[in-house]
Amino acid sequence: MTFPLPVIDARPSRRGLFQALGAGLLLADFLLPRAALAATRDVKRKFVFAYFDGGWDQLLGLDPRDPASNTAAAQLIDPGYDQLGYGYSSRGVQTAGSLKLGPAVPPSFLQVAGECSIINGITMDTAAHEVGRRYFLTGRFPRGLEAVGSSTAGEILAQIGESSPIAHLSAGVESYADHLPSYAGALRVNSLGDLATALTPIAALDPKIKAAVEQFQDQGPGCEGVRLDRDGLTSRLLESVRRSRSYLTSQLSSVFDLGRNDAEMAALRTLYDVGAAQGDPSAPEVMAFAAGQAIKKNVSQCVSFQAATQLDTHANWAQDQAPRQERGWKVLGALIRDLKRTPGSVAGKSMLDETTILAFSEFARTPLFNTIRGRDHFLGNSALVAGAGLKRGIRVGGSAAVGQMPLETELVTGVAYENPSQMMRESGAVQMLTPKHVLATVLASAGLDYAYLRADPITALLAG
Amino acid sequence: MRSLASTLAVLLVACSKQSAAPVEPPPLPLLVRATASPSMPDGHPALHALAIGSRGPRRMSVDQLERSLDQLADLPPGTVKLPADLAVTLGRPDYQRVTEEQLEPTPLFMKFMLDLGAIYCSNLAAFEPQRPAEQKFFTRFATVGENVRYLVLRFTGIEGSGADAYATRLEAAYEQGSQAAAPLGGYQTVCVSLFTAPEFLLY
Repeated sequence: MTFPLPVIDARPSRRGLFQALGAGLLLADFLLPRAALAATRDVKRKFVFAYFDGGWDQLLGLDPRDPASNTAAAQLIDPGYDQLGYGYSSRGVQTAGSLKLGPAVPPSFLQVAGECSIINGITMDTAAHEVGRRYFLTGRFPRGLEAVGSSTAGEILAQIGESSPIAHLSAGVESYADHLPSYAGALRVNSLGDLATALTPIAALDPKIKAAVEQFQDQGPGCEGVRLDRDGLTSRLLESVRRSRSYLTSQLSSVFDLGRNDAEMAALRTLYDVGAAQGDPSAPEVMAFAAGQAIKKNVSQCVSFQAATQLDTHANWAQDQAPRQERGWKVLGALIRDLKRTPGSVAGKSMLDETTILAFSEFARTPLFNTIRGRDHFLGNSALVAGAGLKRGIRVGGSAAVGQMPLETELVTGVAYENPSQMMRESGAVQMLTPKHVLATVLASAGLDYAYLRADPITALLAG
Repeated sequence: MRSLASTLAVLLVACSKQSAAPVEPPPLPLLVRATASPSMPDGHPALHALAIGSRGPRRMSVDQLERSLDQLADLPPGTVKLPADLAVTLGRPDYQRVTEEQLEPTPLFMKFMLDLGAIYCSNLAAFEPQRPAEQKFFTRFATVGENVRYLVLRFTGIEGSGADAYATRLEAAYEQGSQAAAPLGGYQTVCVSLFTAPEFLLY
């Protein structure tokens, strides 16, 4: 007696194997090939994670639609561009190479858009800010609101090791480091002022007192401290003491001193339009400047920063969403330009060629307006990637023509399908993109292990 | 005596005769099945070997830190108040973007604790002469050893033989810090050392 076996694609995928061989193989997941492990790890790679806070409207940014052919009645998509203020409404759907960008994207970003690629049709499986944000930060779906696992930046550092004074800088973005080496934990600051606090001694101790205190600290904890180390908290505290001391001795404060009176800093103030921050040390312009300096000056290997704020426009969408999102694209564009014009460690290469950038938000906003002409939380999403290890100027994935819900995407080609065949689904060739796929792509771009994410990278985006 | 015993025996027989009427036998006691342990998944550690679950140690919150600093120096409650933006930096939620307190002893937090410790302890040293004898912070007792033990108690609650090892190490730190030009340099050293110690910041 024979049983019909399902057809398995010549290139075995996880889904195909499981469906063909049964759930028992779930336990043998470790047997599956790990392509990422075979690739060479780029331990010199740097990473930037740009977070757009509040949930961006992808119709104004990464997934625009032509108002002439998209209506609320027919396509259940209302671009609403005509409601935007002067300067935005006239932009409409903008083109940069083969990329299409919405009216919130400023001309300054269009100039560097060719360095970027867009991922559309990401499903978030949540409409809660904390959940979406933490899902994109860690690549693991939160437990309730609680983050699971570590920030991707921390996971990266655990793999590539520490080679900079503040390996992980997180400016205005949450960070998590669960059972990772201490250097993978972020120096988390909310503003440039915080960073100055971390890098500058506020109170000067007498050198002899300082030496005596440090000697006491270096002796380790007493009996009670050992008892408190049940979960490793005492060890982490003492490691933090040592790290805080090393920040001071590395004398990095001048790197982030916006008030420095020299030509280099003057040029940076202009590039990042620091004047627009109006003295706010946590403004996106200032955060992007700090991110750029940390990467360029080899202060950090991974930087997360808040590129845009207050995008949660349930109301006042027409007034607020476009200018706030535009501000994020401006600072991200400035950062890309800054890295591109800075020579890299290899002759002929720029810092952008050695840095991978991911811009994301916790989710997008509904394609239809609510009753107060705002947009609510939408399950679909998009992301932007740029820099090292990734193809530039392409778009992968997509959203439905009606309703803009995410479509399944073929990982190898990046093509989105409204109705993929059963065979494509069963073989795992097409998958619904999630933050896991995006982060797996970022990791794979540097030859790093993405197995913990339990998702495949979008190979269509990988360069080389 | 013998007659009393025989009388009691008669009474007992009488009682037993009265209760000798046919009655239903008592029900058997419930049989409790004693098993070595409930069925557990393969590889699960033995239940008796598991530690008693309780919450893990935590770092002091910013509110707790403020109140502790009041208590330490016998200040009226609410005297120590960190600036709002600094408190957010140290982990206090702002309830706009962050709704739970971040209680990890991060490098930024510890850097700040070192700074705050330096300011707090030097201020205490500067005001020490103005304190009444019974309210002295650093020099309440006659000997360095006693004062160091008092500081250990104030900061950490550790006393008696449990404080012996701390006292030894801190007295060495005191000796080293005493060479500083700062007033009460030795005691300032002890103060800052305890300020940044896990025994003070964790509980």
